[in-house]
This record gives sequence, structure tokens and C-alpha cells, in this order.
Amino acid sequence: MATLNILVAVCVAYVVLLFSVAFAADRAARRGRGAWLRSPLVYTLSLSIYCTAWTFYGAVGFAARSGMEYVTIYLGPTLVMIGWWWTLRKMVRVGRSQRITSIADMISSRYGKSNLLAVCVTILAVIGTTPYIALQLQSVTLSFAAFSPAAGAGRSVQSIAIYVALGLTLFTILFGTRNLDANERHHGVVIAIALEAVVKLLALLAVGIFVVWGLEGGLGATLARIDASPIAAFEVSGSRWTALTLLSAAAFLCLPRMFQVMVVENEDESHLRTAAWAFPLYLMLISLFVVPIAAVGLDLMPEGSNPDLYVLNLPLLAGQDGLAILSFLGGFSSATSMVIVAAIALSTMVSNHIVMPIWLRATGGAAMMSGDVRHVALLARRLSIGAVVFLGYLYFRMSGGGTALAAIGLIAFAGLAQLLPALMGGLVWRGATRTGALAGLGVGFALWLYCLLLPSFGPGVIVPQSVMDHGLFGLSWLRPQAMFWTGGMDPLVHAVMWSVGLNTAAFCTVSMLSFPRPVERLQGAQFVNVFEHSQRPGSWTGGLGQSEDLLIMSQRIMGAAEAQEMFARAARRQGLSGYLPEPSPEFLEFLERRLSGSVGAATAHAMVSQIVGRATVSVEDLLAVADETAQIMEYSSQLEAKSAEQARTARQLREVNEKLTQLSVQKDGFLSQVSHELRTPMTSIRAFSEILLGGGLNAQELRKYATIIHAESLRLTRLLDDLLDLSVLESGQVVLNVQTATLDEVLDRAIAGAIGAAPGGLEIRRDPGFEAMMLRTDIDRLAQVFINLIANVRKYCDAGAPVLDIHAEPDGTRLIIDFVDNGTGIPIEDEALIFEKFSRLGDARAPGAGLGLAICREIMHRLGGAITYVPGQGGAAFRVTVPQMPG
Amino acid sequence: MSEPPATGRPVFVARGTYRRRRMVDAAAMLPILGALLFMLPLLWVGAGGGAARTSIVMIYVFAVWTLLVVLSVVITRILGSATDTRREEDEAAEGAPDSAAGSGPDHAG
Amino acid sequence: MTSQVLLIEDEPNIIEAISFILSRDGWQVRSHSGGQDAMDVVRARKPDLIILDVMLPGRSGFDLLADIRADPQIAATPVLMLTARGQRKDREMAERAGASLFMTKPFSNAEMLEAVRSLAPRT
Repeated sequence: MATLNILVAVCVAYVVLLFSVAFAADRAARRGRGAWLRSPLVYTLSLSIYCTAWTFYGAVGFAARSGMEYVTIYLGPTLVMIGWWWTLRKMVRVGRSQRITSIADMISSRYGKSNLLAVCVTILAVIGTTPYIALQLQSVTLSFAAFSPAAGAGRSVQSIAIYVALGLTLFTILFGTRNLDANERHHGVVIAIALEAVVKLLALLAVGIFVVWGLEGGLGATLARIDASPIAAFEVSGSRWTALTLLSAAAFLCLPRMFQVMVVENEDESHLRTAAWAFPLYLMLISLFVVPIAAVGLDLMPEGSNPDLYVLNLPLLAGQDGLAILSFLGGFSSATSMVIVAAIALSTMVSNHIVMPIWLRATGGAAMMSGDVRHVALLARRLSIGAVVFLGYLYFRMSGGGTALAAIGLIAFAGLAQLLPALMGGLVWRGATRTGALAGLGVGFALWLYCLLLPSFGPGVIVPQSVMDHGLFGLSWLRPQAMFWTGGMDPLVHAVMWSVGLNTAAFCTVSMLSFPRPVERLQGAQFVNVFEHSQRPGSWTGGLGQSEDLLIMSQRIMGAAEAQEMFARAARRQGLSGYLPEPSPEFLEFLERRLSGSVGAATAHAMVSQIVGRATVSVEDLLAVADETAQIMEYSSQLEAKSAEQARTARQLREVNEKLTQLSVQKDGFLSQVSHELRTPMTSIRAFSEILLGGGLNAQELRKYATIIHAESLRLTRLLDDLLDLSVLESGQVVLNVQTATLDEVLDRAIAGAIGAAPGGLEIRRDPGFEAMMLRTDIDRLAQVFINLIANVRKYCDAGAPVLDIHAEPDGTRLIIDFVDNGTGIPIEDEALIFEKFSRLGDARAPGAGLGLAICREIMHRLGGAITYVPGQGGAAFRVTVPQMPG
Repeated sequence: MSEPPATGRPVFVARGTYRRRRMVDAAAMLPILGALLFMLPLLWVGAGGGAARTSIVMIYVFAVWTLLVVLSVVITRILGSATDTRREEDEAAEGAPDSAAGSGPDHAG
Repeated sequence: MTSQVLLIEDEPNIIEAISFILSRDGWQVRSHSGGQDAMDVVRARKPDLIILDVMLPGRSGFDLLADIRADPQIAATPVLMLTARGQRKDREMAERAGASLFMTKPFSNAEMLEAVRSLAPRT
């Protein structure tokens, strides 16, 4: 009993140490000191609550029974951790940006904040975790008993369990519910867990080192011992190996306590980066000596002793009491840290998703008028903690601490793995719906119960032997361990395969067949695209669902009409229609103030944060809002740029359209024009021909009329020539006659052709500077262009004393010739059209079919040059660019 | 006419960014590699045609474990040494400036 | 006294031709070639018949016709419209503007005589 007393003393001392460490850490955090509390190392160590007493004692037992198979329980999490980039990163980001408080909250948030789903997950979590807590209590009890075999079955050891349970409840309530906001980090708890992580690792390593070098005398001897032990052969079934690895990976993601430390308590996303290698390292170290301890234990310990306690009994056997106490502390800390975190995680879920909704519904508006909701919520959480731990204790007492508990670890894993499809599917698939999640969870949970949990109590306890043998209702395909005639499998593998498989199938099928509500779709988008949407954690991403909840609550307090009016006004201020404003900080503050007028500040605060899932608006939040505003501005400037671009495109389209319309009008006009131009000479020709045919004319008349007919025929011919010329030029069948001439020769020819001998009042000013330049091109065609330009000046220049300036300038090998007159020029709206065929400015200002400039453009195009209109030169200004042609 | 890529992601990125992207690939592939390596002992046979020896499997598993830890350290270090994770993704998401802007149809004449 | 025909047309050769045809048939033909001042000429001459070209420099024949129909003193004067464009649209516009007859160029001399005779009773 002396040892037992020492043990109790050590235990108490250790617990006091934990309390003081937690207290100090909480105080440091409160005072804003202790940056080390938020280090990636602490985060990594806190993850070690994955390794419970089940690891500390059970892994060796597991190894003693089935060799290397135990390692799969740690390989799964290792793979998840080193694959953090795939899943954990997203989970943590979503958790932080959505201010998730638990895994039930995560799943319910994803599926439109469905409380039904949250309740389902909570129940599943409680059912899956309670036996696990019982397992921890059992291990502590057993370890006490190991020190005092005589008292093992006695009352004193049994009562230890209740002391432990009470102590843990006290600790958890003290450090886990200091604040209502479940999203706030529990620094005290986390640092205590980190300390415990170190203790259990050191203890297990110490025992391992003692066993290998102390008892066996080195590595070689230990390996020889393993080879000589009953577990020397690696006889692991592939399906179990694979299934257990997958199962542990799934459980690592879905266990409520893991979610608590990994996502909820996460301080900084970048901590994952360290944990990605440090936690696998931790797992490797903690499982490193498991097989040697098991092999040595099998060799040294008497037949029939519990292999789960080798870690404790080997040092005791060797008389190393100090090491044994260290080992005991390791097991103790594994158990306590698990219970603490599991209790916090479960109590958050139970109070948020079960107790509070029931309380709010039960009391309705009445309770909100009196009493402090905040205290109710805290009380609910504290009671939940007590209830969860008590449930575990109850389970422990009722199961009698038998061997049934040993298998419970994997069964709990399998139960919680049912959350995986809904959790992961919700993170990567926008099509996942609430109905689908419920269906999957339901199917998976039912199969898990039927195939694994209920049979685990032993045949005949809950599931009758006849059902085990012949299936439910005598249907052979419903045998719990041979569903759908799949016999001959390991029961665990069988159950996991069918429950998770059909869970996933139901989840996917029902999701595809059902239609999500708007809130679900909104949340789905925010979860799946979390990296695009929430640029930084902490931004206000609360959905409209929260506003809906707030409206419902406000209606209860303020009356429906008034609340709706207020919400609609707030929505309008935010530029939204309908009754649901974004739950922006401003709006929440306003709402809180408005509600506090009716129910008091504390109540209003608690109620709003209960629904929105966060406490007051902190400076950090305001900064986040400022950031978001900046983002929105950036985004809207992008939108502006985009709409400017669209406007540009629209303008271009409009221009093209206008041009087409104008062209169409021009074409109609041209047809009329051609008709007119052809019919007018025809009229004269026909009339005079008939007159001539009629006879009775004198010679003078005959001559006069014949002359008219001749002139009009020439006019017709000219028009037809122009049309033909243009069509030849356009079809590209023109043959160029490349010659060499100086510019002034060409201009002389053109002026002569356009004006003839009579200048008709047009003054032409030439610039002899570059007119001596040699041109090598189709001189006739170029002259045709010049003739056209000069003739146009004669036709269109509206100056009193028309003057045409012609000046030339070389540009590289090209020559640029400008023709500028002193008229009013061409109106801007016509500039785009003057080179089009058949265009005539105005309608009847001057004769001509409007082909001249079109022909010029075609000619210059064939010559490899260009003719353009140059605006803003004082009058009409055309620029002809002539390149030198080869050959 | 060649269409710009619909995603708007730049086709060529700076060397550092490229290296980081490949590290992201490596981070994604590491668990697959680990899973395959951990499954390997299932295929082993012992010297006498029976099962493999637990001691050998143990040494192998812990060696692979160590290797994975080391690789994970290397990859996260390289990922971490570059700028913040998010920034690069934002860049990728925003893509190249729209090349269509500014070029209008040709105005004839 | 012979009936007077006023010919408003800008093509000199066509004026020459119509004048010749009509005067040989015994009509007194006056011509005018501008659009702007045509109304003054019409008011001053008060012709028995107006032959009006659609495309006139300065003013459209349709406008001129509308003015004629709007002036009570001369509104009853028959108007023969000539056009070289020959589109259905022009014919419709002419009818709407109140043209008595519409002819498309080129026409035969006989057609012209017939039209003029039908519009203006010879005195």
C-alpha cells in the first residue's frame, strides 16, 4: 500500500502541476503575453491527444496479440498529416473562416446550418466517444491496480475511477468554459495537453529504452527476441492492414477531439506546415518501442497476464519503481488529456446543438425577457461536460471493465468514420446536399450499429444468436457479420466496408437527386471555394442563413412586423432587396443594441453571438472588415475595368453597325444614283433619236441633235468604264504597268487631265522640293488617282477662291504626297465613308456616281500604298503614300 | 485567330513560382507514395516461403516512416520559404491581364 | 391662246428634247432649271401644266410639289413628275405628294405627248 500511497501523491502532484500550468498559460494569454503558447510546436503536441491511454497501454497489447498490425492505427494519421495540403489545409481554413466550433457545427454549417444534421452528428459523436472515455477511466483504474494487485478488485480502486472522473470534470469546466465563445482558444487546456504529450512520449520512450538496453542488452538481442517471440511472423491480412490504415486516417479527421485541437484550437494556419512533419515524427517515436516491449513482455511476464499492462508491469517486475511511476504518469496523462478535450468538444456540440435550441424553443420569448442567456449557455456547457464524463463513467461501471472495452477503440473509430463522406464531400463537392448528408449518415450509422457496435457486446447480449447466425427476420443476407452474403471476412473490415461504402453511396445518390436550399448552396460555395472566397481567415463570411436565424429570434422579441421592418431597412441600406441583410459587424452591433433595449445588453449579446457563433466585434474583426472593404473595392474596380471593356466592345459594335447601316443606305442611294446616271443620258438619247427618226428637221437641227446624242453616249461610256474599272480593281485582276517617272511629270499629267486648259478659278500651289523624285510604280494609275483628287477639289471645294496645295515628302523609300484644299473639308461623320464605293457626300451636291475615291483607294491598295483622309488640316486633305515598286 | 486560354492562368511563370508549384505537386503526391510504401510488406514472403519476419517489417516500416518525415520537412520548408501560400493562389486565380482589351476592329478608310 | 407648260428640270439636253417635242405639238414651253427659286417662277407664270423633275439641284421635286399643293392659287395645277431613279418608292412618294402623273426616264416621245395631252386640256 506504500506504493499506492506514493502513487496517489504523485498523481495529485501531477494534477496540481497541470492546473498551475493551465492557469499560468491562461493568465499569460489574457495579458497578451506568451507568444510561445501559440507556437507550431504546441499545436503539434496538442494533436497528440490522438494517442490516448489506448495507445499508451493498448498498442503494446495490440502488438502482443497481432504483431505489427497496431502500427496501422498510426500510419493512417501519418498519411493524412503529410498530405495536409489536400485536406487539412482546407478544413482548417474553412473552420477558421466560418468560425466553426465543432465537427457537428462544421457539417451543419456546410449543409445550410441544419440543426437536425448537427443533432445527428452530436448523437453519433456521443455514442462513439462515451465508450472511449470509459476506456480511459478503465486504463487509469487498471494501472492503479497494477501497483497494488491486492486492491485490484477492491472498492478503493473502483472509487479511484470516480475521483479521476470528478477531477477531470473540474479541470475541464475550469479551463474549458471560461468564456462562452467556443471559438476562443483554450490556452490553458492546450498547454496542459502539450505538457501531457511530452510526458507520455518521454514515458513510453523511457520504458522502451529500458526494455531494449536494460532488460535485453541491446538492439541485436531485442531483434532476436522478437524473432523468437510468438509474434515473429508477419501474418497480417492485407484487407485488415488496408482497412485499419484507412479507418485510422478517417478517424483522425472525424474524431471530435481531433477536430477540436486541429481546427477549433488552431491558432495559425501555418502551424499545419510544421505539424505536417512533426506530428508524423511524434507518432513514429511513440510507436517505435511497441513491438520490442510486446516481445519482451511476452517472454518475461507470466502466462495469462494482461499484455495491455506490459508497459507498467515490466518496470515493476524489474524493480524499477521510479520508471514504473513515470510510465504510470504517461498512461495517466494520455487518459486525462483525451477525456478533457473530448469533453470540451462534446459539450460544445451538446450545448450548442441540443440544449440551447431546446431551451430557446421551450422558453420562447419569455425567457429572453428575463434571465441571462449567456449564463444559461455557460451552464449548459458545464453540465454537458459533467454529463459526458459521467456517461463515460457509467459505461465503464456497467460494462464492468471487461475485455469488451479493449475492442472499443476501433469500433469507435468506425462509428466516427461515418462522418467522413459528409465532411469531405462537403468540402470538395458543391453538389452535396443536406438530404444527402442525412441519408448517408443514417445508412452508415445504422449499419455500424447493426454490424459492429451491437454485436460487440457479445452474442446474445443485444443481438440474439439467431440473428447472428441467420440474419434479421431470418434473412440470410442480413446477417450482421455477413451482410449481402459476404462471409468469411474479418468482422471489423466487413462492417467498415459496408457502412462506409453504403454511407458514401447514399450520400452521393441522394445528393444528386435532391435539391439544396439557397443557404446550402451559399454555404456549399463558401466551403468548396474557401481559398477563392475567404482571402484571409476571420473575414466576415456569415451567410444569409444567420440573418434568417437572427430575424426569427428578433421577431420573437420585438414582434414580427417591427422586426421585419427593421431587417428590411438594414437590407436596403446594404443595397439588398428582401428581408435579409448580410450579418455585417455594423448590422450585428445595431441589432444587438436594438435588442438590448428589450432584453438587456448581456442577453442580447449572448443571443446574437449564439446564433452568429462569435462574441463581440473585436478590433481584429474590424481590421478584417477593413481588409474586406479593400478587397471589395479592388473587385469592383476590376468589375469597372471589365464593364469599361464591355462598353468599348459595345461601342465598336455600334460603330460597325452604324457603318453597315450607312453602307446599306449608301448602297440604296448608289443604285438610285447609278439608275439616275444611266437613265439621264438615256433619256436624251432616246428622245433625240425619236425626234431624228420622226424626220422633218433642217440640217442645223440634225447636226445639233446628233451632237447631243453623241455627248450623252460618251457620258454613259464613262460611267460604265468607271464601274468596270472598279470591279476589275476590286477583283484583283488588274495588270500593273510599272514605269519610272518623276513626281512632277505625273502631277503635270494629272492636272492637265483634271482641269485641261481652263483652270476654272482653281489655283494649284505646288512644292517643287521633292517633285524631282523618281517614282517607280504604275504611273498611269497613280495619275488617275491624282486626277480624281484634283477633280474632287474642283467639284467640292466650297471656298470662294479655291486653292489646292500639293506637297510631297519622302518617308524612307516611300513618298508621301498631300493634297490640301482651303474648303470646309469633310464632316467627321462622313470621314469613315468617303472611300466606300458609291458614296457621295450629301445627296445632290455634285454630279458623279461617287466612285472616284473608291477607285483611288483600290488603286493605291494595288500599288502597295495608301490613300487616307487627314482631318484637321483646314480643308479637305488627302494623303497619298506611294512606295517604290520592284521590277 | 488564337483564343486566349479560358482559365486566364499564365502559361509561363517565373522560376520561383514554378518551383513552388512543383513542390505543391510533391506535397500532394507524398501521401500516395507513403501509402504505397506502407502496403509493400503485404507482398513480402519469408525466407522459407512462409510469412515475412516481424522484425524486418518493423525496421522497414520505421525506415519508410523516417523517410516520409524527412521528405515532409523538405517539402514544407520549400513551400514555407516562399511567400505566403495564399498569395500565389490569388495570383493564379486572377491570371494574366485580359489580352483582348484595347484592340478594336480595324476601321477601314 | 396655247396652253403653257412649265418644265422644271436641271439637265439641259432633256429640257431641249422636251421643249422640242411639246412646242412642235403646239404647246408653249417655259423651262426652269433651279430648285430654290422654282416656286417663284411657278407663281409668276401660273402655267396650265408643270413638268417636274424629282432630282433638282438645291431642292427636291417632292418638296416643290408639296409647296405647290399647299398654295391655293396654284394647287389645282396638274403636275407631271419625272424621275430617273425609277424605284417604286419614288412613285409612291410622288403619289402621296399629289403628283397627277408620274413618268420614269427614259420615256418615248409619244408617251410624253400623250401624258401632257391627258393632263392639260388644249384651249
